Amino acid sequence: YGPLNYACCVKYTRTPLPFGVIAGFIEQSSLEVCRIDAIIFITQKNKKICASIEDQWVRAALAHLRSKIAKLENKASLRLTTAGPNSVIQTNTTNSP
Amino acid sequence: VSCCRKYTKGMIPMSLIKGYSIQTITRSCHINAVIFHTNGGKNICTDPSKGWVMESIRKLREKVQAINKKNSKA
Repeated sequence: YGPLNYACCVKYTRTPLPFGVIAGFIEQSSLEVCRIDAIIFITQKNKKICASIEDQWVRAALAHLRSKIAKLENKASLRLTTAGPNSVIQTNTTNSP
Repeated sequence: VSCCRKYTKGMIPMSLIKGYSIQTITRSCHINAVIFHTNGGKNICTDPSKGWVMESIRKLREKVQAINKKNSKA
């Protein structure tokens, strides 16, 4: 254990996670206290799963999280907008990898 | 699992942010929130309508992409 209050990843999961169970992620950098780079996915039930950024499904899962964030951002700006018949809210969601 | 019930007032320095989670409105969680995970293991509830929150998320993505590029060269 390093100064973080969770253990460093030392190996990666072999099983891709269903995107729906992923609530977020934490990046682990080998430049800091941990030995390997990793993406730590946090599930809806607050479990942590170590994954490799080199895996295609991991990058796809991160892209999925970004689309959920974009929806949240749009909802948030809707709340602040005085909606009228002339209000047009543009959605520019880029799904770049 | 505890829910965010209100948002932090201040901004979080980007250097402290390691990741984020999304809280959406459910029966038990009553507000949408972005929860930032910090170096010290703290979880901080933030307001998705704030510009700095979305900017921090974009910068975090850049950090992750930089890691990916580094590993691709190895």
